[in-house]
Amino acid sequence: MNDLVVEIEAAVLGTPGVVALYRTGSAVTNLVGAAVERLSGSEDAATRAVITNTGGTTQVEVALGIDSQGSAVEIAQAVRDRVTALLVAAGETTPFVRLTVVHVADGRPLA
Amino acid sequence: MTDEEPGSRLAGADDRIVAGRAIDGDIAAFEVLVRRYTPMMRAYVRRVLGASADVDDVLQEAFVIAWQRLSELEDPAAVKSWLMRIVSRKAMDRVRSRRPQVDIDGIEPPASPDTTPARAAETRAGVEALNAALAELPEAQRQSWVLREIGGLTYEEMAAELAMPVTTVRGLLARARKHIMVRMEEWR
Amino acid sequence: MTEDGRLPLGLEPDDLDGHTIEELTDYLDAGRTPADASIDASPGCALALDAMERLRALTPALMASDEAAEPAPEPGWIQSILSGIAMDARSGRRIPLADPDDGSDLAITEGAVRGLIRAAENVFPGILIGRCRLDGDVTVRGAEIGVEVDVSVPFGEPIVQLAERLRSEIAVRLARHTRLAVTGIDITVHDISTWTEDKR
Repeated sequence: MNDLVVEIEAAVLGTPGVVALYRTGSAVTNLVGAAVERLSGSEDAATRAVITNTGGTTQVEVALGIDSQGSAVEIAQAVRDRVTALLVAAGETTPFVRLTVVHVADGRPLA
Repeated sequence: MTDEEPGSRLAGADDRIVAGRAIDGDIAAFEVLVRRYTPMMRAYVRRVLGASADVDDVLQEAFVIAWQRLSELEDPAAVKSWLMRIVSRKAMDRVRSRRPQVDIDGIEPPASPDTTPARAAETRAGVEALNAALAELPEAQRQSWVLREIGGLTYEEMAAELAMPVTTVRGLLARARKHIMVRMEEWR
Repeated sequence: MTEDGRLPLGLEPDDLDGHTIEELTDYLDAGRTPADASIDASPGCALALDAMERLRALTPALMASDEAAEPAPEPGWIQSILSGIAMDARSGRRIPLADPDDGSDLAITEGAVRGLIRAAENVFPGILIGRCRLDGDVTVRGAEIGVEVDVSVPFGEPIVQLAERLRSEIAVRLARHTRLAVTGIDITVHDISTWTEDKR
Protein backbone atom coordinates (compact mmCIF):
# COMPACT_ATOMS: atom_id res chain seq x y z
CA MET A 1 0.00 0.00 0.00
CA ASN A 2 2.93 2.31 0.58
CA ASP A 3 3.96 1.92 -3.06
CA LEU A 4 0.51 3.10 -4.07
CA VAL A 5 0.85 6.21 -1.91
CA VAL A 6 4.16 7.02 -3.57
CA GLU A 7 2.65 6.52 -7.03
CA ILE A 8 -0.32 8.66 -6.19
CA GLU A 9 1.80 11.47 -4.76
CA ALA A 10 3.98 11.41 -7.86
CA ALA A 11 0.97 11.47 -10.17
CA VAL A 12 -0.59 14.38 -8.30
CA LEU A 13 2.60 16.44 -8.29
CA GLY A 14 3.10 15.61 -11.97
CA THR A 15 -0.28 17.01 -12.99
CA PRO A 16 0.19 20.31 -14.85
CA GLY A 17 -0.78 23.22 -12.64
CA VAL A 18 -0.12 21.46 -9.34
CA VAL A 19 2.71 23.14 -7.44
CA ALA A 20 2.43 21.61 -3.99
CA LEU A 21 0.95 18.76 -2.05
CA TYR A 22 0.24 19.62 1.60
CA ARG A 23 -0.37 17.66 4.75
CA THR A 24 -4.10 17.44 5.19
CA GLY A 25 -5.58 18.69 8.41
CA SER A 26 -8.58 16.39 8.42
CA ALA A 27 -6.61 13.44 9.69
CA VAL A 28 -7.84 9.91 9.77
CA THR A 29 -8.98 10.36 13.34
CA ASN A 30 -11.57 12.93 12.20
CA LEU A 31 -13.64 10.29 10.44
CA VAL A 32 -16.24 9.93 13.14
CA GLY A 33 -18.21 6.73 13.42
CA ALA A 34 -16.44 4.89 10.66
CA ALA A 35 -14.39 1.77 11.06
CA VAL A 36 -11.25 3.11 9.58
CA GLU A 37 -8.24 1.16 8.56
CA ARG A 38 -5.34 3.43 7.86
CA LEU A 39 -3.50 1.95 4.96
CA SER A 40 -1.04 4.64 4.06
CA GLY A 41 2.08 6.19 5.44
CA SER A 42 3.27 6.53 8.99
CA GLU A 43 2.05 8.58 11.91
CA ASP A 44 4.54 11.35 11.42
CA ALA A 45 4.40 14.42 9.24
CA ALA A 46 5.83 12.82 6.12
CA THR A 47 2.53 11.56 4.78
CA ARG A 48 0.76 13.81 2.34
CA ALA A 49 -1.72 11.69 0.39
CA VAL A 50 -3.94 9.91 2.89
CA ILE A 51 -5.55 6.64 1.86
CA THR A 52 -8.29 5.16 3.97
CA ASN A 53 -10.57 2.20 3.56
CA THR A 54 -14.08 2.67 4.90
CA GLY A 55 -16.57 -0.10 4.43
CA GLY A 56 -15.05 -1.24 1.17
CA THR A 57 -14.54 2.19 -0.39
CA THR A 58 -10.96 3.26 -0.80
CA GLN A 59 -10.63 7.01 -0.43
CA VAL A 60 -7.66 9.11 -1.31
CA GLU A 61 -7.50 12.52 0.29
CA VAL A 62 -5.17 15.26 -0.89
CA ALA A 63 -4.68 18.97 -0.24
CA LEU A 64 -3.18 20.88 -3.16
CA GLY A 65 -1.45 24.07 -4.00
CA ILE A 66 -1.99 25.13 -7.61
CA ASP A 67 -0.69 27.71 -10.04
CA SER A 68 -2.96 30.73 -10.53
CA GLN A 69 -2.46 30.59 -14.28
CA GLY A 70 -4.50 27.41 -14.57
CA SER A 71 -8.07 26.80 -13.53
CA ALA A 72 -8.75 25.20 -10.17
CA VAL A 73 -11.73 23.35 -11.64
CA GLU A 74 -9.79 21.83 -14.52
CA ILE A 75 -6.71 21.01 -12.45
CA ALA A 76 -8.84 19.32 -9.79
CA GLN A 77 -10.58 17.22 -12.41
CA ALA A 78 -7.28 16.24 -13.99
CA VAL A 79 -5.86 15.14 -10.63
CA ARG A 80 -9.01 13.21 -9.84
CA ASP A 81 -8.84 11.37 -13.14
CA ARG A 82 -5.19 10.42 -12.65
CA VAL A 83 -5.68 9.19 -9.10
CA THR A 84 -8.84 7.28 -9.98
CA ALA A 85 -6.99 5.54 -12.81
CA LEU A 86 -4.21 4.50 -10.42
CA LEU A 87 -6.67 3.15 -7.87
CA VAL A 88 -8.57 1.18 -10.51
CA ALA A 89 -5.30 -0.22 -11.87
CA ALA A 90 -4.43 -1.32 -8.33
CA GLY A 91 -7.64 -3.28 -8.17
CA GLU A 92 -9.80 -0.90 -6.15
CA THR A 93 -13.38 -1.25 -7.34
CA THR A 94 -14.90 1.72 -5.48
CA PRO A 95 -12.32 4.48 -5.52
CA PHE A 96 -13.11 7.93 -4.11
CA VAL A 97 -11.05 11.06 -4.36
CA ARG A 98 -11.51 13.86 -1.84
CA LEU A 99 -9.52 16.80 -3.09
CA THR A 100 -9.17 20.26 -1.62
CA VAL A 101 -7.34 23.15 -3.19
CA VAL A 102 -5.87 25.01 -0.22
CA HIS A 103 -3.58 27.48 -1.91
CA VAL A 104 -3.44 29.27 -5.24
CA ALA A 105 0.10 30.45 -5.89
CA ASP A 106 -0.13 33.85 -7.45
CA GLY A 107 1.66 34.85 -10.57
CA ARG A 108 0.61 37.57 -12.89
CA PRO A 109 -2.55 39.62 -13.51
CA LEU A 110 -5.42 37.72 -15.06
CA ALA A 111 -7.69 40.65 -16.07
CA MET B 1 5.04 55.45 -7.60
CA THR B 2 8.20 53.48 -6.96
CA ASP B 3 8.80 50.04 -8.39
CA GLU B 4 8.07 47.37 -5.85
CA GLU B 5 8.65 43.67 -5.74
CA PRO B 6 5.45 41.76 -5.35
CA GLY B 7 4.97 41.04 -1.67
CA SER B 8 7.47 43.62 -0.48
CA ARG B 9 4.62 45.86 0.56
CA LEU B 10 3.28 43.18 2.87
CA ALA B 11 6.78 42.37 4.08
CA GLY B 12 7.15 45.97 5.24
CA ALA B 13 3.68 46.38 6.71
CA ASP B 14 3.31 46.62 10.45
CA ASP B 15 2.35 43.69 12.67
CA ARG B 16 -1.27 44.72 12.96
CA ILE B 17 -1.87 44.44 9.23
CA VAL B 18 0.27 41.37 8.67
CA ALA B 19 -1.11 39.43 11.63
CA GLY B 20 -4.63 40.56 10.77
CA ARG B 21 -4.31 38.97 7.37
CA ALA B 22 -2.70 35.85 8.77
CA ILE B 23 -5.66 35.47 11.13
CA ASP B 24 -7.83 35.71 8.01
CA GLY B 25 -5.97 32.76 6.54
CA ASP B 26 -3.39 34.57 4.42
CA ILE B 27 -0.45 32.21 4.16
CA ALA B 28 1.78 34.90 2.61
CA ALA B 29 1.18 37.04 5.68
CA PHE B 30 2.05 34.13 7.94
CA GLU B 31 5.24 33.69 5.97
CA VAL B 32 6.07 37.36 6.63
CA LEU B 33 5.67 36.68 10.35
CA VAL B 34 7.91 33.62 10.13
CA ARG B 35 10.62 35.65 8.39
CA ARG B 36 10.23 38.59 10.69
CA TYR B 37 10.43 36.73 13.99
CA THR B 38 12.55 33.65 13.30
CA PRO B 39 15.86 35.40 14.18
CA MET B 40 14.51 36.74 17.47
CA MET B 41 12.91 33.43 18.40
CA ARG B 42 16.01 31.45 17.47
CA ALA B 43 18.18 33.73 19.59
CA TYR B 44 15.81 33.42 22.53
CA VAL B 45 15.45 29.63 22.38
CA ARG B 46 19.18 29.24 22.05
CA ARG B 47 19.59 31.30 25.24
CA VAL B 48 17.11 29.08 27.05
CA LEU B 49 18.27 25.68 25.83
CA GLY B 50 21.91 26.20 24.92
CA ALA B 51 23.79 26.00 21.66
CA SER B 52 23.57 22.27 21.14
CA ALA B 53 19.79 22.15 21.28
CA ASP B 54 17.52 21.56 18.31
CA VAL B 55 16.47 25.18 18.24
CA ASP B 56 14.79 24.86 14.85
CA ASP B 57 12.67 21.92 15.97
CA VAL B 58 11.30 24.03 18.81
CA LEU B 59 10.54 26.87 16.40
CA GLN B 60 8.88 24.54 13.94
CA GLU B 61 6.54 23.23 16.64
CA ALA B 62 5.82 26.76 17.80
CA PHE B 63 4.91 27.99 14.32
CA VAL B 64 2.61 25.03 13.70
CA ILE B 65 0.77 25.85 16.92
CA ALA B 66 0.74 29.56 16.09
CA TRP B 67 -0.95 28.84 12.75
CA GLN B 68 -3.53 26.61 14.38
CA ARG B 69 -4.29 29.11 17.10
CA LEU B 70 -4.24 32.37 15.16
CA SER B 71 -7.98 32.74 15.56
CA GLU B 72 -7.36 33.09 19.32
CA LEU B 73 -5.16 36.14 18.83
CA GLU B 74 -7.48 39.00 19.64
CA ASP B 75 -5.10 41.86 19.12
CA PRO B 76 -3.11 41.40 15.89
CA ALA B 77 -0.72 44.14 16.98
CA ALA B 78 0.38 41.94 19.90
CA VAL B 79 1.51 39.06 17.68
CA LYS B 80 5.16 39.41 18.67
CA SER B 81 4.63 38.77 22.37
CA TRP B 82 2.06 36.11 21.48
CA LEU B 83 4.65 34.23 19.43
CA MET B 84 7.18 34.57 22.24
CA ARG B 85 4.77 32.99 24.70
CA ILE B 86 4.13 30.07 22.39
CA VAL B 87 7.81 29.42 21.78
CA SER B 88 8.49 29.83 25.51
CA ARG B 89 6.09 26.99 26.24
CA LYS B 90 7.71 24.77 23.66
CA ALA B 91 11.16 25.57 25.06
CA MET B 92 9.97 24.85 28.59
CA ASP B 93 8.55 21.51 27.43
CA ARG B 94 12.10 20.63 26.42
CA VAL B 95 13.56 21.88 29.70
CA ARG B 96 11.07 19.88 31.71
CA SER B 97 11.58 16.70 29.75
CA ARG B 98 15.33 16.90 29.99
CA ARG B 99 15.61 17.46 33.69
CA PRO B 100 13.20 15.90 36.16
CA GLN B 101 14.93 17.38 39.21
CA VAL B 102 16.13 20.91 39.58
CA ASP B 103 19.22 21.71 41.57
CA ILE B 104 18.85 25.28 42.77
CA ASP B 105 22.44 25.79 43.79
CA GLY B 106 23.78 24.23 40.66
CA ILE B 107 26.28 21.57 41.55
CA GLU B 108 26.48 20.88 37.85
CA PRO B 109 28.95 22.98 35.87
CA PRO B 110 27.75 26.01 33.95
CA ALA B 111 26.97 25.72 30.27
CA SER B 112 29.92 26.12 27.94
CA PRO B 113 30.88 29.76 27.33
CA ASP B 114 30.15 29.35 23.65
CA THR B 115 26.39 29.42 24.11
CA THR B 116 25.67 32.32 21.80
CA PRO B 117 26.44 33.18 18.19
CA ALA B 118 29.47 35.30 17.37
CA ARG B 119 28.85 38.89 18.18
CA ALA B 120 29.61 42.01 16.15
CA ALA B 121 32.75 43.80 17.30
CA GLU B 122 30.97 46.98 18.20
CA THR B 123 28.75 45.43 20.86
CA ARG B 124 28.39 47.52 23.95
CA ALA B 125 30.71 46.47 26.76
CA GLY B 126 27.75 46.11 29.12
CA VAL B 127 26.12 43.58 26.83
CA GLU B 128 29.36 41.61 26.66
CA ALA B 129 29.58 41.64 30.45
CA LEU B 130 26.01 40.45 30.79
CA ASN B 131 26.60 37.73 28.26
CA ALA B 132 29.67 36.55 30.16
CA ALA B 133 27.88 36.62 33.51
CA LEU B 134 25.02 34.54 32.08
CA ALA B 135 27.49 32.01 30.74
CA GLU B 136 28.80 31.46 34.26
CA LEU B 137 25.43 30.51 35.68
CA PRO B 138 24.35 26.92 36.28
CA GLU B 139 21.87 25.90 33.61
CA ALA B 140 18.69 26.02 35.69
CA GLN B 141 19.46 29.51 36.96
CA ARG B 142 20.34 30.77 33.50
CA GLN B 143 17.17 29.31 32.00
CA SER B 144 14.99 30.84 34.68
CA TRP B 145 16.55 34.24 34.17
CA VAL B 146 16.10 34.11 30.40
CA LEU B 147 12.50 32.92 30.64
CA ARG B 148 11.65 35.65 33.11
CA GLU B 149 13.68 38.64 31.93
CA ILE B 150 13.53 38.04 28.19
CA GLY B 151 10.49 35.81 27.82
CA GLY B 152 8.48 37.87 30.28
CA LEU B 153 6.85 34.84 31.87
CA THR B 154 5.32 35.10 35.32
CA TYR B 155 6.57 33.03 38.23
CA GLU B 156 3.35 31.05 38.16
CA GLU B 157 3.66 30.28 34.45
CA MET B 158 7.21 29.12 34.90
CA ALA B 159 6.31 27.01 37.92
CA ALA B 160 3.45 25.34 36.03
CA GLU B 161 5.35 24.69 32.82
CA LEU B 162 8.54 23.53 34.50
CA ALA B 163 6.67 21.42 37.10
CA MET B 164 8.33 23.03 40.10
CA PRO B 165 7.06 25.07 43.06
CA VAL B 166 6.96 28.85 42.72
CA THR B 167 9.40 29.06 45.63
CA THR B 168 11.94 27.11 43.58
CA VAL B 169 11.47 29.47 40.63
CA ARG B 170 11.98 32.46 42.90
CA GLY B 171 15.01 30.85 44.45
CA LEU B 172 16.62 30.21 41.07
CA LEU B 173 15.94 33.75 39.95
CA ALA B 174 17.26 35.31 43.15
CA ARG B 175 20.54 33.43 42.81
CA ALA B 176 20.85 34.24 39.13
CA ARG B 177 20.19 37.92 39.70
CA LYS B 178 22.65 38.18 42.55
CA HIS B 179 25.42 36.58 40.58
CA ILE B 180 24.82 38.72 37.50
CA MET B 181 24.56 41.95 39.45
CA VAL B 182 27.72 41.31 41.41
CA ARG B 183 29.64 40.51 38.23
CA MET B 184 28.21 43.51 36.41
CA GLU B 185 29.33 45.79 39.22
CA GLU B 186 32.81 44.34 39.10
CA TRP B 187 33.03 45.11 35.42
CA ARG B 188 31.73 48.63 35.68
CA MET C 1 36.90 47.51 47.84
CA THR C 2 37.09 47.79 44.08
CA GLU C 3 40.00 49.61 42.46
CA ASP C 4 38.34 52.98 42.54
CA GLY C 5 37.38 52.60 46.20
CA ARG C 6 33.75 51.64 45.75
CA LEU C 7 32.25 49.14 48.13
CA PRO C 8 31.41 45.82 46.53
CA LEU C 9 27.71 45.48 45.86
CA GLY C 10 26.08 43.87 48.87
CA LEU C 11 23.01 41.82 48.10
CA GLU C 12 22.34 39.91 51.29
CA PRO C 13 19.72 41.04 53.82
CA ASP C 14 22.49 42.42 56.05
CA ASP C 15 23.43 44.82 53.28
CA LEU C 16 19.86 45.66 52.50
CA ASP C 17 18.63 46.64 55.96
CA GLY C 18 16.80 43.38 56.30
CA HIS C 19 15.28 43.28 52.83
CA THR C 20 15.92 40.56 50.29
CA ILE C 21 16.72 40.68 46.60
CA GLU C 22 13.38 39.01 45.94
CA GLU C 23 11.55 41.80 47.74
CA LEU C 24 13.43 44.44 45.80
CA THR C 25 12.71 42.68 42.52
CA ASP C 26 9.02 42.60 43.30
CA TYR C 27 9.19 46.28 44.32
CA LEU C 28 10.83 47.19 41.05
CA ASP C 29 8.33 45.10 39.08
CA ALA C 30 5.53 47.00 40.80
CA GLY C 31 7.05 50.32 39.76
CA ARG C 32 8.04 51.11 43.37
CA THR C 33 4.41 51.57 44.25
CA PRO C 34 2.90 51.61 46.73
CA ALA C 35 5.93 53.37 48.19
CA ASP C 36 7.76 51.40 50.88
CA ALA C 37 9.36 53.82 53.30
CA SER C 38 11.77 51.24 54.67
CA ILE C 39 13.16 50.33 51.25
CA ASP C 40 13.23 53.92 50.03
CA ALA C 41 15.22 55.02 53.09
CA SER C 42 17.85 52.30 52.80
CA PRO C 43 21.13 53.21 51.03
CA GLY C 44 21.92 49.53 50.51
CA CYS C 45 18.57 49.02 48.81
CA ALA C 46 19.10 52.10 46.68
CA LEU C 47 22.39 50.69 45.41
CA ALA C 48 20.84 47.32 44.71
CA LEU C 49 17.83 48.82 42.95
CA ASP C 50 20.11 50.96 40.79
CA ALA C 51 22.06 47.88 39.82
CA MET C 52 18.85 46.05 38.98
CA GLU C 53 17.64 48.88 36.81
CA ARG C 54 20.92 49.01 34.95
CA LEU C 55 20.62 45.30 34.33
CA ARG C 56 17.04 45.65 33.16
CA ALA C 57 18.10 48.37 30.74
CA LEU C 58 20.77 46.12 29.26
CA THR C 59 18.52 43.15 28.67
CA PRO C 60 16.83 44.44 25.49
CA ALA C 61 20.27 45.34 24.17
CA LEU C 62 21.41 41.78 24.79
CA MET C 63 18.46 40.40 22.85
CA ALA C 64 18.92 42.90 20.04
CA SER C 65 22.54 41.92 19.77
CA ASP C 66 21.67 38.21 19.78
CA GLU C 67 19.03 38.77 17.13
CA ALA C 68 21.36 40.79 14.93
CA ALA C 69 23.87 37.96 15.08
CA GLU C 70 21.33 35.50 13.71
CA PRO C 71 21.33 34.98 9.94
CA ALA C 72 18.15 35.70 7.99
CA PRO C 73 15.96 32.60 7.71
CA GLU C 74 16.93 30.41 4.78
CA PRO C 75 14.42 29.68 2.01
CA GLY C 76 14.56 26.00 2.91
CA TRP C 77 13.62 26.84 6.50
CA ILE C 78 10.65 28.93 5.37
CA GLN C 79 9.45 26.13 3.11
CA SER C 80 9.76 23.50 5.81
CA ILE C 81 7.63 25.61 8.13
CA LEU C 82 4.97 26.23 5.51
CA SER C 83 4.79 22.63 4.41
CA GLY C 84 4.53 21.54 8.03
CA ILE C 85 1.27 23.40 8.38
CA ALA C 86 -1.99 21.61 7.83
CA MET C 87 -3.30 24.32 5.56
CA ASP C 88 -6.83 23.14 5.22
CA ALA C 89 -7.33 22.94 8.98
CA ARG C 90 -8.02 26.65 9.22
CA SER C 91 -9.11 27.45 5.76
CA GLY C 92 -12.81 28.07 6.25
CA ARG C 93 -15.58 26.42 4.32
CA ARG C 94 -15.06 23.97 1.50
CA ILE C 95 -16.36 25.45 -1.73
CA PRO C 96 -17.34 22.81 -4.31
CA LEU C 97 -15.54 22.95 -7.65
CA ALA C 98 -17.92 20.50 -9.30
CA ASP C 99 -21.12 18.71 -8.41
CA PRO C 100 -20.23 15.85 -6.07
CA ASP C 101 -20.58 12.39 -7.55
CA ASP C 102 -19.94 8.80 -6.56
CA GLY C 103 -16.26 9.01 -7.29
CA SER C 104 -15.08 12.36 -6.05
CA ASP C 105 -15.51 15.47 -3.96
CA LEU C 106 -13.54 18.36 -5.38
CA ALA C 107 -13.39 21.66 -3.54
CA ILE C 108 -11.41 24.79 -2.93
CA THR C 109 -11.17 26.34 0.51
CA GLU C 110 -12.50 29.73 1.44
CA GLY C 111 -8.99 30.51 2.63
CA ALA C 112 -7.56 29.77 -0.81
CA VAL C 113 -10.19 31.98 -2.44
CA ARG C 114 -9.47 34.82 -0.02
CA GLY C 115 -5.79 34.42 -0.82
CA LEU C 116 -6.60 34.63 -4.49
CA ILE C 117 -8.55 37.84 -3.96
CA ARG C 118 -5.84 39.36 -1.80
CA ALA C 119 -3.16 38.56 -4.35
CA ALA C 120 -4.97 40.85 -6.81
CA GLU C 121 -3.24 43.70 -5.02
CA ASN C 122 0.02 42.69 -6.68
CA VAL C 123 -1.40 44.13 -9.86
CA PHE C 124 -1.93 47.57 -8.33
CA PRO C 125 1.11 49.26 -6.84
CA GLY C 126 0.71 50.64 -3.36
CA ILE C 127 -2.62 49.12 -2.34
CA LEU C 128 -3.03 46.61 0.42
CA ILE C 129 -6.07 44.36 0.59
CA GLY C 130 -7.21 43.67 4.13
CA ARG C 131 -10.08 41.49 5.16
CA CYS C 132 -12.10 39.58 2.57
CA ARG C 133 -15.50 38.11 3.17
CA LEU C 134 -17.61 35.73 1.12
CA ASP C 135 -21.24 36.23 2.11
CA GLY C 136 -23.74 33.49 1.48
CA ASP C 137 -23.63 29.72 1.65
CA VAL C 138 -20.57 28.99 -0.43
CA THR C 139 -20.89 25.28 0.19
CA VAL C 140 -24.04 25.13 -1.96
CA ARG C 141 -23.39 25.14 -5.69
CA GLY C 142 -25.17 28.00 -7.41
CA ALA C 143 -25.99 29.91 -4.25
CA GLU C 144 -25.72 33.66 -4.66
CA ILE C 145 -22.54 34.96 -3.14
CA GLY C 146 -21.55 38.52 -2.29
CA VAL C 147 -17.91 39.45 -1.95
CA GLU C 148 -16.72 42.21 0.37
CA VAL C 149 -13.18 43.47 0.23
CA ASP C 150 -11.43 46.07 2.38
CA VAL C 151 -8.67 47.99 0.70
CA SER C 152 -6.19 50.56 1.82
CA VAL C 153 -5.07 52.90 -0.92
CA PRO C 154 -2.14 55.30 -1.20
CA PHE C 155 -2.89 58.96 -0.89
CA GLY C 156 -3.51 60.60 -4.22
CA GLU C 157 -4.70 57.56 -6.13
CA PRO C 158 -8.04 58.06 -7.91
CA ILE C 159 -10.17 55.75 -5.83
CA VAL C 160 -13.13 55.15 -8.11
CA GLN C 161 -11.09 54.01 -11.10
CA LEU C 162 -8.86 51.89 -8.90
CA ALA C 163 -11.87 50.20 -7.32
CA GLU C 164 -13.30 49.45 -10.77
CA ARG C 165 -10.12 47.87 -12.02
CA LEU C 166 -9.69 45.92 -8.80
CA ARG C 167 -13.25 44.67 -8.98
CA SER C 168 -12.65 43.49 -12.52
CA GLU C 169 -9.44 41.68 -11.56
CA ILE C 170 -11.13 39.96 -8.62
CA ALA C 171 -14.07 38.91 -10.81
CA VAL C 172 -11.76 37.25 -13.33
CA ARG C 173 -9.92 35.38 -10.60
CA LEU C 174 -13.12 34.09 -9.06
CA ALA C 175 -14.48 33.00 -12.42
CA ARG C 176 -11.28 31.14 -13.24
CA HIS C 177 -10.93 29.24 -10.00
CA THR C 178 -14.43 28.79 -8.66
CA ARG C 179 -17.95 28.06 -9.74
CA LEU C 180 -19.39 30.65 -7.36
CA ALA C 181 -22.40 32.64 -8.53
CA VAL C 182 -20.99 36.03 -7.55
CA THR C 183 -23.72 38.66 -7.42
CA GLY C 184 -21.56 41.58 -6.40
CA ILE C 185 -18.09 42.63 -5.33
CA ASP C 186 -18.18 45.41 -2.74
CA ILE C 187 -14.94 47.27 -2.40
CA THR C 188 -14.55 49.47 0.65
CA VAL C 189 -11.67 51.86 0.91
CA HIS C 190 -11.06 51.79 4.63
CA ASP C 191 -8.04 53.92 5.19
CA ILE C 192 -5.21 55.50 3.34
CA SER C 193 -2.10 53.37 3.55
CA THR C 194 0.73 54.90 5.52
CA TRP C 195 3.19 52.16 4.84
CA THR C 196 6.63 53.64 4.36
CA GLU C 197 10.18 52.42 3.85
CA ASP C 198 11.14 52.95 7.47
CA LYS C 199 8.78 50.28 8.72
CA ARG C 200 11.13 47.48 7.68
